[in-house]
Amino acid sequence: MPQTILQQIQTILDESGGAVFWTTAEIWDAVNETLLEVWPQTNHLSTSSSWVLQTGTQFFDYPSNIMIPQTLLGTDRSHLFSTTYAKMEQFSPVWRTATPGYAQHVIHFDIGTVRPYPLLDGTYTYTLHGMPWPPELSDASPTLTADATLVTAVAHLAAAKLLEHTIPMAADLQEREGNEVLQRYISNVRNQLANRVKRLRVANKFNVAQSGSIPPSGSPPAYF
Amino acid sequence: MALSDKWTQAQIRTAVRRKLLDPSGRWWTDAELAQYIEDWQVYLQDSFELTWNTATITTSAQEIVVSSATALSDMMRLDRVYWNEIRLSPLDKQGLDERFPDWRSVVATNTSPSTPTIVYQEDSNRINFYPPPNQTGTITIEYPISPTFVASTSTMQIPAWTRYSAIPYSCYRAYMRSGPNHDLQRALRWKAAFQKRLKRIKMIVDKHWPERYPRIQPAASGPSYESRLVNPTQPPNTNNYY
Repeated sequence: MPQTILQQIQTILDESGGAVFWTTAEIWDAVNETLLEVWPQTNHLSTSSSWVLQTGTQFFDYPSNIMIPQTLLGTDRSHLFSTTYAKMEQFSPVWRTATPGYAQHVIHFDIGTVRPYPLLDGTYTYTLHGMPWPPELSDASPTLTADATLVTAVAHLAAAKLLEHTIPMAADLQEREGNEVLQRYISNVRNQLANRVKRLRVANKFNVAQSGSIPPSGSPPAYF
Repeated sequence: MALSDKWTQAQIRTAVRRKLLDPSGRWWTDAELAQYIEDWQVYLQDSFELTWNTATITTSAQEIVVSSATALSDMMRLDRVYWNEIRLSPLDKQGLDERFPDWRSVVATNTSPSTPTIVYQEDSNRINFYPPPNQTGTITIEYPISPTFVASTSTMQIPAWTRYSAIPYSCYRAYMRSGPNHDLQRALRWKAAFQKRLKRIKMIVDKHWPERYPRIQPAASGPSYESRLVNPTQPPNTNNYY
């Protein structure tokens, strides 16, 4: 039976008999910080939430279960795009005076808030997809439910944070090891079915980035 | 408690004390650590502008004094300004001199209604409008806030996923100052650790609302791109999309 993440870290710290120099509270701090850093890098989980936007309000915070918002769907499940203040002002200098209606876009106000465009004339339920918050681990909730490779990466990276204070060279080594294992996990995620299908394409042709969407006049379209 | 919960200043201080091996405040006082935690929050907000606020002021004056405007008490720096919901173009005084050499002589009159189109600053404490208004308008100002912990029970004003970066920042400041625990080498290690956290924060900021969708772009110089733009009914070459 594999070790728990706490046991893995305590083994790395040579404290497999139990906490001596590093209290479990300190270890959980390091693990939780690592989870917050690793989750956005792996991008391996997605969640969604109903998001009720209503009239009379300019700004809306993201639903609390979403750490990083990524895709917004309208009431008819169509994809609505986010935009910026600068682009809105290029689009229409009077955009803020638009007649309220069904919001077609959301504009980034700050890192946790958007403003719909146009402002709403009623209550609509949108769906926001994004990356969920990682679980917070503690003595009461010590299990990280994740792929074994990811758990090992988190253990090394958390140990690096703990060793930073006393044995910095060992911390560097643990960090390098953790990042190496993390890259292996990211490769595993990337190589799953959906992405393999994308590789079924004719070789030796330009891709979109190289060729552009529109072929030069007189030449055949650029396939890939 | 969840990772989405923002920490209070006291919670951050407890985590910092664990790292400093000073749980009872023997070497570093609460007031000192509170200052470092305050500075940490301002540092991140200054670097990434994570949290914004909006203020509405109704006035017919040509000038707003920031320090006298209660609505702007939490402003870090001025950003977008709207007059009756229309964005005012930001200019500096040199720009006004170049475009309107007599701009200083323009005064608000009741005979010719004037609505400001430009916002400039006489100095960092003043917000000015040009041409001077001769009517009351609603000014909306949007700005990154200057965050602060009013008390040790106040929660951080920047996102919860930044909370652990307070630890290396506070440790670096704690070891840097003179005193019995003065340790420059350790301070530099913690500073480097904090700088690593900054890169990860930037990564998380960049991951918000990814814009990775294919869009029309020219393949090579030639008429195709322009003809596609003027003839939008032409179906796209779907072979180029995935």
